Amino acid sequence: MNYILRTTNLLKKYKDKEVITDVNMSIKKGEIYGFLGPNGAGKTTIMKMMLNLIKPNSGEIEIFGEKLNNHKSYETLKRIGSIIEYPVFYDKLTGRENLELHCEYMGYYDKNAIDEAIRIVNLTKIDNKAVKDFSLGMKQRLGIARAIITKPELLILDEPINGLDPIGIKEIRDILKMLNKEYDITILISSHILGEVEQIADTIGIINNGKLIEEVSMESIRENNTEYIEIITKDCIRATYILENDLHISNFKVIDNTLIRIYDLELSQKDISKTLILNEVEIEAINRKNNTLEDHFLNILNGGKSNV
Amino acid sequence: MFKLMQLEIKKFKMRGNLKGVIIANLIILAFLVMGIFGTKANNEMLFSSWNDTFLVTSTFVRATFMIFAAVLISKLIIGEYRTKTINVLFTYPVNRKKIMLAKLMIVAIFTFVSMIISNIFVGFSLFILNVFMNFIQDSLTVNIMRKELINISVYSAAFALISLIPAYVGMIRKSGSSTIITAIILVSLLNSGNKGNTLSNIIIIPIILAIIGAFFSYLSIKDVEKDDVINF
Repeated sequence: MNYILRTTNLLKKYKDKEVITDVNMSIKKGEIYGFLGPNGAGKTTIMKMMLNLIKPNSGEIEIFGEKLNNHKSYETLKRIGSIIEYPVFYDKLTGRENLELHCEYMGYYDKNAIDEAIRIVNLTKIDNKAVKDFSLGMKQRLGIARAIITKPELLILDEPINGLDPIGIKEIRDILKMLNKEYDITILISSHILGEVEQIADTIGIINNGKLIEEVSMESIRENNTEYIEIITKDCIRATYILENDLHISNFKVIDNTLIRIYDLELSQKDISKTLILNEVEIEAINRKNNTLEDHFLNILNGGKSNV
Repeated sequence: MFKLMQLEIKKFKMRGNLKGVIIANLIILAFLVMGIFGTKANNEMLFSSWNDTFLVTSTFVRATFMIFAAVLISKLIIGEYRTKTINVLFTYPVNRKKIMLAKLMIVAIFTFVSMIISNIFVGFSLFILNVFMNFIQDSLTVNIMRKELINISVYSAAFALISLIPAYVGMIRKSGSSTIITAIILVSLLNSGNKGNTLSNIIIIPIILAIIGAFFSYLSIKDVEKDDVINF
């Protein structure tokens, strides 16, 4: 498999407290990698390590097949675009001046690239306006413009949709998909908003308390993505009896005293409710549900907790 | 390196500081003129010879621009940490030590040049003023002027380097206020005293401090490639 970025046994301590423990991540070339975790889980710290801003106490980071090194990684850095924490700029300068400055430091001299990047992120009417007068949404867009201006091979985006309105979020999502497809840019995107990552990522890495708990492809999540019928009833014992004996359903689970999940979907919701009612089981609610990434995520985080 | 300095100048709109230099000069001049008139009213002179005059003006100029330098340091260097733009700057494919060196060099060169220009400007203004007011009795000979020009150059060079000492202190906790306070302490230690009897007029002291300044600025950027970039 062709990996663009790998970390092995990454470890970071702050004053004897391990904030990142044994993180092994693998990002394949050409994919969108969603990096999920609650606030303070260590997402930003790991991303900073990838950008050589923070040095790991032990472990290695390999980008484009080369080890990230204190002094000699300049060529690697040239091929990465990034936003860390939130987009920062020299806010007395205009948006365009900031982009020009970025190109100069990156050693990138394509004059049309600036206009193109501004056009891609749909930032209009920014000329003659200092960045300090930008809204957060505009700064996010400008940040993405800055990250993509040099057509990097790898984009590292830390919470790039924070502070955007729903329309803005959709636009950014489309932009990222487009960059991934058309320019073949590998994207690492972190977020604590599950729904957003779910919609664009190919692979998900879930981190909590500095540990990478799971790394899984969206595809396999979708495969395991069981649908089920959920019944809420007060008369749980009687309901299970009927399900087993009258309806011959064996694949169901009693979650608690009032909640039953039926994973066998051969019988329709209508038939089940009809039989239950005919047998005088009082049904408070019956629903068809989907196990989403959110359930998966919460499952894993809770599982992690109970193990501790 | 020159390119990096150019970018810094562009980034921080350094041209705007020229206004500051002009204002500082006018204030220094105003102070001196006030001193001259004030003492003249009491029939004693603030300074009676050109040697004294130059001593006082250069003390004023040095004090002013050392603090000016500290302000520049907290803008150019500490400010990048404060506003977190350092996180962007240090992901560029450019040697971090060179970036920091470029910043320090801008501060040092700026301080050096503005000290020289201000010394000349204030001295020249007093000379013109003296033509009308005649508060200094002895005549300004070529000898005095030559000696003074050499003095100005040596001292400005030394103090441009001393001005970098606050950068080291400020970098420890990335604090703009400790940068400026260090500068103020240095200024008051070196330039207080009566009629030119100050620490800085013993030439060996500024020169030693200048060497310390150069060494400290090396220390402050030595590990910039190895250390974690921490924002306070």
